Amino acid sequence: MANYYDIDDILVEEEFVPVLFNKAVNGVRIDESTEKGFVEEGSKSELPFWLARELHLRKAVTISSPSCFNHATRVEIQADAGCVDLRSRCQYFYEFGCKLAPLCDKTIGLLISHAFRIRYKEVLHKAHTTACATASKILTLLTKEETNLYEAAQSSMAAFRKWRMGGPTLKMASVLGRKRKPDEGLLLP
Amino acid sequence: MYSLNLKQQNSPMNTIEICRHRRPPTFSLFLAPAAGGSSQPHHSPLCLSDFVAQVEFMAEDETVGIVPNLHMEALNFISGDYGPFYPQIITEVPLWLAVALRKRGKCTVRSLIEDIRDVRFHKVQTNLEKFTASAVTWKNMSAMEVNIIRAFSGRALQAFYKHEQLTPDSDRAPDTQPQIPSNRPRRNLRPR
Repeated sequence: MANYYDIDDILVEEEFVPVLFNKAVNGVRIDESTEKGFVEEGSKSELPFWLARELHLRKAVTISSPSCFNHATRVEIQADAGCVDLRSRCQYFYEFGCKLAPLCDKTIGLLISHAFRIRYKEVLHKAHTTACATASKILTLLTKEETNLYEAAQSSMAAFRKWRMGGPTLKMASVLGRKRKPDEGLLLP
Repeated sequence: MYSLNLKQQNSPMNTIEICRHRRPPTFSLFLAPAAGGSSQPHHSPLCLSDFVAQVEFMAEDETVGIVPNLHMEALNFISGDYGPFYPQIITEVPLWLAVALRKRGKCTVRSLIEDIRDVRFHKVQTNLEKFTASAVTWKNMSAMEVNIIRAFSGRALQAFYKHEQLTPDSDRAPDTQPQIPSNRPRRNLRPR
């Protein structure tokens, strides 16, 4: 219950997952279109993760992979994980995957760790170098977790720059302004 | 400690007063031995702040290159002679003198620190690129460099660890991964 008040954790569990009912359930109406007051055995539906997990633990439903972990996404991630727009697929791709992996498909664990390892490098380079103005383009592709990472790096960099500018400023000599060739040596003007 | 009053005969506008006023605590032991009845504070054993002041004082003796924008005769100090100074000609002076001249707008100080920082931080980034939850190696990083990547790397390591927990055998047997083909050479991403 450590994450009880964690808004991110709540939102992760709000994600819908496709389920298959193993038992007939009485007195339940899943959505407005069902006329009957019960769910037949073998019917398919989509439930939020928090409900599906509880039903899964009681062996009432079987959870299958949601669309953000489908085959097409896997192929895209294998091709070039850095360019996949995970944000539109699932805001909490990694957290959701972590929660889902033990319940439905163990290979999700491999998928997310692979995706993160590749995408982490993209975030690493962009977070420490890119100026704020051009950042919005990358941010549209990142999941919530990656955005947090990105912002952590950006704020550290901003704090560092502020410290550097706040101290005694040395004026750069004009000879340093122009580009040097690497083999020219550092001390030659 | 050093105090000089320097006047150039042909250009009275260029009167410069340079004094190095900060005195490190240990030096005062030699310069002003505590005579009987002297009210001067006596620094007996060195405490940490003494070291800081001392280190800073010593650091100020390091020579740096400056680009003067005035013409001035050579300066003769106890520690040595510096100069003469010609506009736009690089001259080596101790840091404290460079700072004093810089404050008066008489020179620009050549600084390599920015270049060094850039190169070092690039190395830090390539190091960060390599790490996974199981292996992290960092050596010879300054406190400020650690500070820059602290928040980022902490979060990243947590995420790596979490994902590693899900796939406990993925690192030991990467060839048996059913979904992700790892035999394909991974494209090395160029830092942008």
